[in-house]
Amino acid sequence: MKILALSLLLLCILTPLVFSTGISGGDLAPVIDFTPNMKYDFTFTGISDRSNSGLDYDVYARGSLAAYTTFDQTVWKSLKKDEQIAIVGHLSLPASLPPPAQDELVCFRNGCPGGGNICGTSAACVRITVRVPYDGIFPVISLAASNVNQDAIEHFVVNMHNDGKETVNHCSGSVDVYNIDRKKLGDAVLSNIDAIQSFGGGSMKADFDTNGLLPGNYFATAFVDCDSQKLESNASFRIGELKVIVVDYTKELEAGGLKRFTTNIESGWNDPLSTYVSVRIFDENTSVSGRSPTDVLDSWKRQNFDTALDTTSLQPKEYNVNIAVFYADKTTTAEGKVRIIAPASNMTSMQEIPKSGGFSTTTLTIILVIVVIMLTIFNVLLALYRKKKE
Amino acid sequence: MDEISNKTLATLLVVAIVISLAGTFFAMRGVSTVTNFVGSPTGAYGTSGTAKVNITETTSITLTNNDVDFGSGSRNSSLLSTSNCNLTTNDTPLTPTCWVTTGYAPKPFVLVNDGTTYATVDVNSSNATAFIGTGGSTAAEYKYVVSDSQEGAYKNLKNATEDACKGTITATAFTAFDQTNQSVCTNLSNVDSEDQLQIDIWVAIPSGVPATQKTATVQFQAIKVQG
Repeated sequence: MKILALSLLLLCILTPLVFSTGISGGDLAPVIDFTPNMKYDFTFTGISDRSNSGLDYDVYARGSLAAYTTFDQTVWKSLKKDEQIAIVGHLSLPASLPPPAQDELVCFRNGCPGGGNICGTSAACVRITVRVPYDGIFPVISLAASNVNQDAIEHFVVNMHNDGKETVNHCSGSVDVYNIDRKKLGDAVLSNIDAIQSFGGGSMKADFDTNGLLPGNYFATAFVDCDSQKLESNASFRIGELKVIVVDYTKELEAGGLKRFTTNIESGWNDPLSTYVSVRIFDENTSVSGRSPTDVLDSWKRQNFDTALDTTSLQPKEYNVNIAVFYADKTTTAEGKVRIIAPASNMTSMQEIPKSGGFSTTTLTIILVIVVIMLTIFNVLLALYRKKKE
Repeated sequence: MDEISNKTLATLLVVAIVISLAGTFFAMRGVSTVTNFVGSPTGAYGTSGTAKVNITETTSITLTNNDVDFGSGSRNSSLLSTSNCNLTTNDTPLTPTCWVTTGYAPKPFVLVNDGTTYATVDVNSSNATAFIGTGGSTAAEYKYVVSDSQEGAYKNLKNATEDACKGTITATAFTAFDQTNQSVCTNLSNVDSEDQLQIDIWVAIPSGVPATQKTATVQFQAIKVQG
């Protein structure tokens, strides 16, 4: 398997990239800003089909900007396989266009390879977008709020951009915070931004102290005034509690060996927690216990923790189970029942899962042969280089 | 002569590597001796240069099967009362009994994203009337369906065994071509192990359609997924 992977890797390195009907360039989705009567020239590379030689190709434009587009050449006859041609086009835009954006697809297309009642052709396209500003000012805002821990500072950010032709002189505002019943709990004043030019933008920030607020879900609304235009934007966020709960656990376990006991736990905290789980299965006479490896429980996530338990001393019947989750100097405990069942004869325990890995002598030999060949080639190249220098 | 065991061979190879490494060491020492680094007139070795790299991206699709051939045929005269004779690229049954032809082995289109970008793919072909014509006892039908390993009428069969479409496949059941651009997949992966879709074709030929050659072109169009 490993030698196969190595061979594939070498094959990938040594094999040149080939494409089928394709279009290539530095940016296959250019976005440009409109100015009246502007001219925009573009060049892309058309790549012919890798499996069919002698096909005809053409280039076409489709979309609201197609009427303003011309090409230096639109048809290529009988291209070879993997041949590359230059697609040169020109956009000559009018004095005005409807906002907020106009676009077109510039596509390189192969002709029918032939045969069949229904012929399939393919085309690869580039989308060219022209952003067109609105008259006057056109401020647009969006509020961003992130989840925080209890008693931490919530950092609100309002991103504003101006989709208008004119400059926005001044924006100011505040953010109101509400509970789940839409009752206002407080507010925070946003920083101001000034002189936002056409298609420009800026960020307004406000810090809100969550001290005293209970863990849970909250809403926020930003109220912004940009040159007397009133704008609003909403967001929600959670305040985290340093608490991990046990969601589920293995209810049935086989007797007679080392078995996997899975505990599903969920974090209510906004930061990752280093966590482990301790499990004890017991009745009046017997008790077995185990501990999972310590792992990182991601913020707000549900995650499984596996504990290996030796059930050799347990009989098929119902036992009590005690689960303790340890994290950040805190412990969550849960109690319940677990049923021990008789072992199935053909089932594998955790001990019995065979380990794989390691090189066989043959594999090692093949790897060493490859290394020797590569070193020899390197030496020959070095010798040639040295001779050339001398 | 006895065969050399793997263990002996491995030992010999280790010796070969040691010799080879020693050769590399001396060869490199030789190169460093003969290579003269030219310093600046001031004697300093700090010369500046500009490193440039031009990164391009490519949107590219290929049809590894690029034609569907239902062959030259006619409606079976004993089954003309059947409303429509359905021909599909799904080869079960191999040849419909309503269709008399030779060499009937239509294969579906197989589309691969072999570019460097994820792509939105759509398809455009003439409608049933433009392709098959009118004059039959019932309306002709001309449809397509898209399948990968997760979705579609032929999911996880034949060439539809890769989880290729990371976006939406709208035509998971046979959908009529309507001479407009219709969606194939909103986000087709370009990762080698999951970049292949299968597009099957359905043609329903009514009895009484005038005999003539019927051909159509199916154009697949790929655009880089933005964002």
